[in-house]
Amino acid sequence: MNLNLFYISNIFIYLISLKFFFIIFKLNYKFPFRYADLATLIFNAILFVALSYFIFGAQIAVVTLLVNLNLFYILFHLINMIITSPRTKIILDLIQSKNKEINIQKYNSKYNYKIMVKNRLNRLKTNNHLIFSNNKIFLKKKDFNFFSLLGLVFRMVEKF
Amino acid sequence: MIEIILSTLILNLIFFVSYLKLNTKNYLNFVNYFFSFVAYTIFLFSIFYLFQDNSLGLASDEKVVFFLLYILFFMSFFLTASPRYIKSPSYLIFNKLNDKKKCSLNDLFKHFKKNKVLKLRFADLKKQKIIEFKKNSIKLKKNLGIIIYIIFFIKKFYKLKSEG
Repeated sequence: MNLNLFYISNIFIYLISLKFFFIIFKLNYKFPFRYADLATLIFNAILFVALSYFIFGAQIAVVTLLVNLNLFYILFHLINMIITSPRTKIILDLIQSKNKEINIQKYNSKYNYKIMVKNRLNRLKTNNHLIFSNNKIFLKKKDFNFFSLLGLVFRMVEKF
Repeated sequence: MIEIILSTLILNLIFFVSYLKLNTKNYLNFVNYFFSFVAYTIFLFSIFYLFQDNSLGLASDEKVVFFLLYILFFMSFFLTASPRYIKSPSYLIFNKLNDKKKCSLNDLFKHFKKNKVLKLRFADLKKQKIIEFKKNSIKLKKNLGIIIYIIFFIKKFYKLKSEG
Protein backbone atom coordinates (compact mmCIF):
# COMPACT_ATOMS: atom_id res chain seq x y z
CA MET A 1 0.00 0.00 0.00
CA ASN A 2 1.13 3.51 -0.82
CA LEU A 3 2.07 5.61 2.22
CA ASN A 4 0.37 8.72 0.80
CA LEU A 5 -2.92 6.87 0.47
CA PHE A 6 -2.51 5.37 3.94
CA TYR A 7 -2.23 8.79 5.60
CA ILE A 8 -5.02 10.31 3.49
CA SER A 9 -7.27 7.44 4.68
CA ASN A 10 -6.10 7.98 8.26
CA ILE A 11 -7.00 11.70 8.18
CA PHE A 12 -10.34 11.06 6.46
CA ILE A 13 -11.35 8.28 8.89
CA TYR A 14 -10.21 10.45 11.81
CA LEU A 15 -12.62 13.23 10.75
CA ILE A 16 -15.51 10.81 10.12
CA SER A 17 -14.99 8.88 13.35
CA LEU A 18 -14.92 12.18 15.29
CA LYS A 19 -18.38 12.91 13.87
CA PHE A 20 -19.52 9.43 14.91
CA PHE A 21 -18.19 9.87 18.47
CA PHE A 22 -19.80 13.34 18.69
CA ILE A 23 -23.14 11.66 17.94
CA ILE A 24 -22.52 9.15 20.74
CA PHE A 25 -20.97 11.38 23.42
CA LYS A 26 -22.34 14.78 22.32
CA LEU A 27 -20.37 17.64 23.89
CA ASN A 28 -19.80 15.91 27.22
CA TYR A 29 -16.57 16.88 28.90
CA LYS A 30 -14.11 15.60 31.34
CA PHE A 31 -12.48 19.02 31.32
CA PRO A 32 -10.39 19.90 29.38
CA PHE A 33 -11.09 17.01 27.03
CA ARG A 34 -14.33 16.01 25.38
CA TYR A 35 -15.11 12.30 25.47
CA ALA A 36 -15.61 12.38 21.69
CA ASP A 37 -12.05 13.67 21.13
CA LEU A 38 -10.54 11.07 23.41
CA ALA A 39 -12.53 8.20 21.90
CA THR A 40 -11.56 9.29 18.38
CA LEU A 41 -7.88 9.43 19.30
CA ILE A 42 -7.92 6.00 20.95
CA PHE A 43 -9.88 4.40 18.09
CA ASN A 44 -7.66 5.83 15.34
CA ALA A 45 -4.39 5.37 17.18
CA ILE A 46 -5.10 1.68 17.80
CA LEU A 47 -6.43 1.03 14.28
CA PHE A 48 -3.82 2.92 12.26
CA VAL A 49 -0.78 2.23 14.44
CA ALA A 50 -1.55 -1.50 14.22
CA LEU A 51 -2.15 -1.32 10.45
CA SER A 52 1.01 0.68 9.78
CA TYR A 53 3.02 -1.70 11.96
CA PHE A 54 1.90 -4.71 9.91
CA ILE A 55 2.12 -2.99 6.49
CA PHE A 56 5.14 -0.67 6.84
CA GLY A 57 6.96 -1.70 10.03
CA ALA A 58 7.70 -0.29 13.46
CA GLN A 59 9.22 3.04 12.39
CA ILE A 60 6.16 4.11 10.37
CA ALA A 61 3.97 2.94 13.27
CA VAL A 62 5.70 5.52 15.49
CA VAL A 63 5.08 8.19 12.83
CA THR A 64 1.41 7.14 12.62
CA LEU A 65 1.06 7.57 16.38
CA LEU A 66 2.53 11.08 16.08
CA VAL A 67 0.22 11.92 13.18
CA ASN A 68 -2.83 10.88 15.22
CA LEU A 69 -1.64 12.80 18.28
CA ASN A 70 -1.22 15.88 16.09
CA LEU A 71 -4.69 15.42 14.58
CA PHE A 72 -6.10 15.12 18.09
CA TYR A 73 -4.34 18.31 19.20
CA ILE A 74 -5.31 20.31 16.09
CA LEU A 75 -8.97 19.29 16.08
CA PHE A 76 -9.23 19.65 19.85
CA HIS A 77 -8.03 23.26 19.55
CA LEU A 78 -10.09 24.09 16.46
CA ILE A 79 -13.28 22.79 18.05
CA ASN A 80 -12.41 24.49 21.34
CA MET A 81 -11.89 27.70 19.42
CA ILE A 82 -15.36 27.45 17.91
CA ILE A 83 -17.09 26.55 21.19
CA THR A 84 -15.20 28.57 23.78
CA SER A 85 -13.31 31.43 22.12
CA PRO A 86 -15.01 34.80 22.68
CA ARG A 87 -13.39 36.26 19.55
CA THR A 88 -14.65 33.44 17.33
CA LYS A 89 -18.12 33.85 18.86
CA ILE A 90 -18.10 37.58 18.12
CA ILE A 91 -17.02 36.97 14.50
CA LEU A 92 -19.58 34.18 13.97
CA ASP A 93 -22.35 36.32 15.51
CA LEU A 94 -21.40 39.20 13.23
CA ILE A 95 -21.41 37.01 10.13
CA GLN A 96 -24.83 35.63 11.00
CA SER A 97 -26.29 39.05 11.73
CA LYS A 98 -28.09 41.30 9.27
CA ASN A 99 -25.66 43.43 7.23
CA LYS A 100 -22.83 41.92 9.30
CA GLU A 101 -23.48 44.61 11.91
CA ILE A 102 -24.58 44.38 15.55
CA ASN A 103 -25.90 47.00 17.94
CA ILE A 104 -23.45 47.14 20.90
CA GLN A 105 -26.09 47.53 23.60
CA LYS A 106 -28.21 44.69 22.28
CA TYR A 107 -25.15 42.50 21.99
CA ASN A 108 -24.08 43.31 25.56
CA SER A 109 -27.39 42.04 26.85
CA LYS A 110 -26.88 38.80 24.89
CA TYR A 111 -23.20 38.23 25.58
CA ASN A 112 -21.51 39.73 28.65
CA TYR A 113 -19.19 38.93 31.57
CA LYS A 114 -21.89 37.07 33.48
CA ILE A 115 -22.58 34.74 30.58
CA MET A 116 -18.87 34.27 29.94
CA VAL A 117 -18.16 33.33 33.57
CA LYS A 118 -21.15 30.99 33.76
CA ASN A 119 -20.18 29.22 30.53
CA ARG A 120 -16.60 28.77 31.74
CA LEU A 121 -17.65 27.49 35.15
CA ASN A 122 -20.05 25.00 33.58
CA ARG A 123 -17.19 23.55 31.60
CA LEU A 124 -14.61 23.77 34.39
CA LYS A 125 -16.75 22.02 36.98
CA THR A 126 -16.81 18.82 34.92
CA ASN A 127 -13.34 17.85 36.15
CA ASN A 128 -14.47 17.94 39.81
CA HIS A 129 -11.71 20.27 40.91
CA LEU A 130 -14.14 23.10 41.67
CA ILE A 131 -16.45 23.04 44.67
CA PHE A 132 -19.64 25.10 44.74
CA SER A 133 -20.90 25.77 48.24
CA ASN A 134 -23.03 28.59 49.75
CA ASN A 135 -22.66 30.73 46.63
CA LYS A 136 -18.89 30.39 46.86
CA ILE A 137 -16.55 28.62 44.49
CA PHE A 138 -13.22 27.16 45.49
CA LEU A 139 -10.55 24.78 44.30
CA LYS A 140 -10.37 21.32 45.76
CA LYS A 141 -7.20 20.96 47.80
CA LYS A 142 -4.79 18.74 45.97
CA ASP A 143 -1.03 18.95 45.65
CA PHE A 144 -1.23 19.00 41.88
CA ASN A 145 -4.45 19.17 39.95
CA PHE A 146 -5.52 19.99 36.43
CA PHE A 147 -5.54 23.72 37.16
CA SER A 148 -1.90 23.60 38.23
CA LEU A 149 -1.09 21.98 34.89
CA LEU A 150 -3.17 24.59 33.04
CA GLY A 151 -1.32 27.40 34.83
CA LEU A 152 2.03 25.79 34.02
CA VAL A 153 1.19 25.52 30.28
CA PHE A 154 -0.03 29.13 30.08
CA ARG A 155 3.06 30.42 31.89
CA MET A 156 5.35 28.45 29.54
CA VAL A 157 3.74 29.88 26.38
CA GLU A 158 3.82 33.37 27.90
CA LYS A 159 7.57 33.04 28.49
CA PHE A 160 8.18 32.39 24.78
CA MET B 1 13.19 7.92 10.90
CA ILE B 2 13.86 9.42 14.32
CA GLU B 3 16.03 12.07 12.59
CA ILE B 4 13.12 13.05 10.34
CA ILE B 5 10.70 13.30 13.27
CA LEU B 6 13.14 15.36 15.31
CA SER B 7 14.07 17.62 12.40
CA THR B 8 10.42 18.47 11.60
CA LEU B 9 9.80 19.20 15.28
CA ILE B 10 12.96 21.26 15.77
CA LEU B 11 12.54 23.25 12.51
CA ASN B 12 8.99 24.13 13.55
CA LEU B 13 10.06 24.95 17.10
CA ILE B 14 12.78 27.29 15.81
CA PHE B 15 10.24 29.11 13.62
CA PHE B 16 7.64 29.27 16.39
CA VAL B 17 9.99 30.70 19.03
CA SER B 18 11.67 33.11 16.57
CA TYR B 19 8.33 34.40 15.27
CA LEU B 20 6.96 35.00 18.75
CA LYS B 21 10.19 36.73 19.82
CA LEU B 22 10.38 38.89 16.69
CA ASN B 23 6.69 39.75 16.45
CA THR B 24 6.53 43.35 17.66
CA LYS B 25 2.74 43.54 17.47
CA ASN B 26 0.79 42.53 20.56
CA TYR B 27 -1.50 40.23 18.62
CA LEU B 28 -1.16 37.19 16.40
CA ASN B 29 -2.14 37.60 12.78
CA PHE B 30 -2.67 34.24 11.08
CA VAL B 31 -2.05 35.53 7.54
CA ASN B 32 1.24 37.10 8.61
CA TYR B 33 2.23 33.97 10.55
CA PHE B 34 1.38 31.75 7.58
CA PHE B 35 3.32 33.78 5.00
CA SER B 36 6.31 34.09 7.34
CA PHE B 37 6.24 30.31 7.66
CA VAL B 38 6.12 29.90 3.85
CA ALA B 39 9.11 32.26 3.51
CA TYR B 40 10.99 30.34 6.22
CA THR B 41 10.23 27.03 4.49
CA ILE B 42 11.42 28.32 1.09
CA PHE B 43 14.59 29.60 2.72
CA LEU B 44 15.23 26.24 4.43
CA PHE B 45 14.60 24.24 1.27
CA SER B 46 16.88 26.48 -0.77
CA ILE B 47 19.65 25.73 1.70
CA PHE B 48 18.93 21.98 1.57
CA TYR B 49 18.99 22.00 -2.24
CA LEU B 50 22.34 23.76 -2.24
CA PHE B 51 23.90 20.97 -0.20
CA GLN B 52 22.03 17.91 -1.54
CA ASP B 53 21.93 16.31 -4.98
CA ASN B 54 18.30 15.20 -4.65
CA SER B 55 15.64 16.91 -2.59
CA LEU B 56 16.62 16.66 1.07
CA GLY B 57 18.43 13.38 0.36
CA LEU B 58 15.33 11.45 1.47
CA ALA B 59 13.66 8.34 0.10
CA SER B 60 10.09 8.63 -1.21
CA ASP B 61 8.38 7.38 1.99
CA GLU B 62 10.62 9.55 4.11
CA LYS B 63 9.55 12.61 2.09
CA VAL B 64 5.88 11.81 2.79
CA VAL B 65 6.63 11.52 6.51
CA PHE B 66 8.69 14.71 6.50
CA PHE B 67 6.07 16.87 4.76
CA LEU B 68 3.15 15.44 6.71
CA LEU B 69 4.78 15.96 10.10
CA TYR B 70 6.16 19.35 9.05
CA ILE B 71 2.65 20.62 8.22
CA LEU B 72 0.98 19.01 11.24
CA PHE B 73 3.58 20.44 13.65
CA PHE B 74 3.12 23.86 12.01
CA MET B 75 -0.62 23.75 12.71
CA SER B 76 -0.13 22.44 16.25
CA PHE B 77 2.37 25.16 17.12
CA PHE B 78 0.21 27.90 15.62
CA LEU B 79 -2.77 26.81 17.73
CA THR B 80 -0.55 26.95 20.84
CA ALA B 81 0.51 30.58 20.34
CA SER B 82 -2.67 32.41 21.32
CA PRO B 83 -2.24 32.43 25.17
CA ARG B 84 0.94 34.46 24.75
CA TYR B 85 -1.03 37.46 23.53
CA ILE B 86 -4.31 37.26 25.36
CA LYS B 87 -5.05 35.57 28.67
CA SER B 88 -7.67 32.84 28.51
CA PRO B 89 -10.74 33.46 30.71
CA SER B 90 -10.21 29.96 32.20
CA TYR B 91 -6.71 31.00 33.23
CA LEU B 92 -8.13 34.14 34.89
CA ILE B 93 -10.60 32.00 36.87
CA PHE B 94 -7.78 29.66 37.89
CA ASN B 95 -5.60 32.59 39.01
CA LYS B 96 -8.41 34.20 40.97
CA LEU B 97 -9.28 30.96 42.75
CA ASN B 98 -5.64 30.25 43.43
CA ASP B 99 -5.07 33.68 44.96
CA LYS B 100 -8.27 34.01 46.95
CA LYS B 101 -8.89 30.30 47.63
CA LYS B 102 -12.63 30.92 47.37
CA CYS B 103 -14.75 33.55 45.76
CA SER B 104 -18.31 34.25 44.69
CA LEU B 105 -19.72 34.52 41.18
CA ASN B 106 -19.79 38.29 41.67
CA ASP B 107 -16.05 38.31 42.45
CA LEU B 108 -15.44 36.51 39.17
CA PHE B 109 -17.64 38.94 37.22
CA LYS B 110 -15.68 41.83 38.74
CA HIS B 111 -12.39 40.07 38.02
CA PHE B 112 -13.38 39.65 34.36
CA LYS B 113 -14.45 43.28 34.18
CA LYS B 114 -11.22 44.45 35.83
CA ASN B 115 -9.19 42.44 33.32
CA LYS B 116 -11.28 43.85 30.44
CA VAL B 117 -11.87 40.35 29.08
CA LEU B 118 -14.41 41.44 26.46
CA LYS B 119 -12.97 44.88 25.73
CA LEU B 120 -9.54 43.39 25.01
CA ARG B 121 -11.05 40.96 22.54
CA PHE B 122 -12.97 43.64 20.70
CA ALA B 123 -9.80 45.75 20.65
CA ASP B 124 -7.80 42.79 19.31
CA LEU B 125 -10.30 42.22 16.49
CA LYS B 126 -10.16 45.93 15.69
CA LYS B 127 -6.35 45.90 15.61
CA GLN B 128 -6.45 42.98 13.21
CA LYS B 129 -8.83 45.08 11.08
CA ILE B 130 -11.53 42.40 11.31
CA ILE B 131 -14.15 44.66 12.90
CA GLU B 132 -14.80 48.38 13.06
CA PHE B 133 -16.72 50.42 15.60
CA LYS B 134 -19.49 52.68 14.43
CA LYS B 135 -21.60 55.02 16.53
CA ASN B 136 -23.68 52.40 18.35
CA SER B 137 -22.62 49.27 16.57
CA ILE B 138 -19.84 46.91 15.55
CA LYS B 139 -19.42 45.94 11.92
CA LEU B 140 -17.49 43.12 10.31
CA LYS B 141 -14.89 44.87 8.19
CA LYS B 142 -13.15 42.34 6.03
CA ASN B 143 -14.02 39.22 4.21
CA LEU B 144 -12.31 36.45 6.17
CA GLY B 145 -12.32 34.16 3.16
CA ILE B 146 -11.32 30.53 3.40
CA ILE B 147 -10.58 30.58 7.15
CA ILE B 148 -14.16 31.40 8.03
CA TYR B 149 -15.47 28.78 5.57
CA ILE B 150 -13.34 26.13 7.32
CA ILE B 151 -14.64 27.25 10.73
CA PHE B 152 -18.24 27.23 9.46
CA PHE B 153 -17.75 23.81 7.89
CA ILE B 154 -16.38 22.34 11.14
CA LYS B 155 -19.16 24.04 13.15
CA LYS B 156 -21.86 22.71 10.86
CA PHE B 157 -20.38 19.26 10.29
CA TYR B 158 -19.93 18.53 14.01
CA LYS B 159 -23.06 20.51 14.98
CA LEU B 160 -21.20 22.77 17.41
CA LYS B 161 -22.60 25.73 19.30
CA SER B 162 -20.41 28.77 19.76
CA GLU B 163 -20.85 29.64 23.47
CA GLY B 164 -17.86 31.92 24.04
